[in-house]
Amino acid sequence: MSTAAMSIVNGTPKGFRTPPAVVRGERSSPAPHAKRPGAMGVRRGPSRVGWLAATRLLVWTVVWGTVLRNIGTSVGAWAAGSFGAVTTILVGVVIPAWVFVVFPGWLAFRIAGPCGLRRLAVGACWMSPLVRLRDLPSIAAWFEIAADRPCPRWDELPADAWTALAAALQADRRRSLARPARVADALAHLPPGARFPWLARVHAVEALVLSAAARRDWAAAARYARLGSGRLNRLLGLLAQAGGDSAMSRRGVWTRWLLAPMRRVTWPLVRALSRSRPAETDADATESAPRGVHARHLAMLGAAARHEDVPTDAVLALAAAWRGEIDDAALARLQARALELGLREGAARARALRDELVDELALLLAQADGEVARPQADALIETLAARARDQQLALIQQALPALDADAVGPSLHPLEAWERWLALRAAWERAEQTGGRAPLAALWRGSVRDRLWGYCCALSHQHGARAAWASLIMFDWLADRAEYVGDLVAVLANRENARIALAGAR
Amino acid sequence: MTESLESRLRERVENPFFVLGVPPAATAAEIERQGQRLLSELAAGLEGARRYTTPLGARDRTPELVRSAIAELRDPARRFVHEWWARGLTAAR
Repeated sequence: MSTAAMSIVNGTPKGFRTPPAVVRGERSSPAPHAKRPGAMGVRRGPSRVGWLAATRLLVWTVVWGTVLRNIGTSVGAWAAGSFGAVTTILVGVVIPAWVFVVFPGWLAFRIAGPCGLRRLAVGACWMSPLVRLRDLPSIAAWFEIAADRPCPRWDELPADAWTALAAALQADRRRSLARPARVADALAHLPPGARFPWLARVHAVEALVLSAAARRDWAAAARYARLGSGRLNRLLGLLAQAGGDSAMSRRGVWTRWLLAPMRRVTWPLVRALSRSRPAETDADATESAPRGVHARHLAMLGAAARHEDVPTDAVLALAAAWRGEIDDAALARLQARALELGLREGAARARALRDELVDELALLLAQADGEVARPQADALIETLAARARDQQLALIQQALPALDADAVGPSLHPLEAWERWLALRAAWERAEQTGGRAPLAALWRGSVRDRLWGYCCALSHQHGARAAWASLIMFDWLADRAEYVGDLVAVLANRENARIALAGAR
Repeated sequence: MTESLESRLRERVENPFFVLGVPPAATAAEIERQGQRLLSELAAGLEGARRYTTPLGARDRTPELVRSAIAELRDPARRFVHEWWARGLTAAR
């Protein structure tokens, strides 16, 4: 073993086991895409992709050259030199530039796609300079999924923003809401270099927001809209906020509706919301807010089950409100009622009821957003935090078996592999809020680190460039988590792996 | 975790007292009578029997749900839990 290799193996003084096999010496793996040229089968001369790109460029040049020439000739002949400077620039530069850059995407996503002309839509994307050639298969798959059609070549597609949004859209339409929520959260926190094309931000996100808005799930719609760009996403984001009972300027909404595309689709949503607003005053809102701690609890349970944002502070406030209902006097009343019902061990029954409630509060806290302030002098809050932490750590343990490096084979699609990791990511990041560093560091050293690291490397080796986008995100996340628990070896190796994955993803 | 939250939520809104539309203080005989009445109405296809009110809005009432509610309230230990929630939620309304 070389000195360099020794330095890595010996560089695990904090009790780590030998790092995964991908790390050798002071740099990471032959890893992901750092394969030797011979192993990659490099050919001389341009590759197929190079030919396709050259052909595309040639077609662009011929088509747009012809169009520009015809516009120039016919408009010039018609105007006969009567145009001023501004009009000439408009006709000669701005309109051709718009036709070249924006028109193909507009044709694809606003006309051809919604009309079911998917071949035309993909052809228009091929003509668009805003679409990379390598994204075309994923965009074609997105068109299929958006039209609720099966995608026959899904297994050959890479994991990227388009396929991730297609999978999220499909899951959202099937009311499998946890999956799109996790995908949206991951897309909202992409590492630098992980591509999220502008057209995907506009059109793929729009479809997702519209799907949530169609079933009046405004919390999900707002969450999705935060990913997006463009006028329609801004309008839908505003409608989602309005649907969630925040202040809304009706004039602002109507202005955005006028400026946004797909006005016929959004008309019923805007009209329904603008009609419902005047009746709702602050007094009405206060009146409609749940009264009583049982009702507040139920409302929060409903919000958490619908994946709405539930702040940690709100859960702690609810727990504080429960205190009077589960104190010793309340338990004595419950015990008396248990005896009236003929139950033996009334005290135990009452305590069991309180325990069940505390468990439910811990479940809410484990799902809530935001950190639990420490230290807490309150015994109830301490109990809740401890139970929430246990639940979160258990969730991490539950997510780990799915991340088996040996199970990563050709049949496991890189996107599915990425989504399995998303389950672990969601559990881990929630645990960071309430769990604290020490238990997570122990879990990291005990099981998470080697398993996840091996899984990421296996995925990268198995699928190569198809998994580069997913690998980049996962390696970057691994490096961040390693930093959180103070595992310097894993930080360095995974930063390097992320860098290699980034090179493959570009 | 979400599944767990959903099952807890379902348990709360499918509280037997709400399903049967009886107050938490109802006697065993009242519960049985109301349950049988609802089952007959559902069998007859009466529109009014198909929905029940919960703090989170109206829900569908089915014969299975009614039978399950009757069975739950026959067990004193289960009734004890459901009654506590129903009392709290009814008082809030």
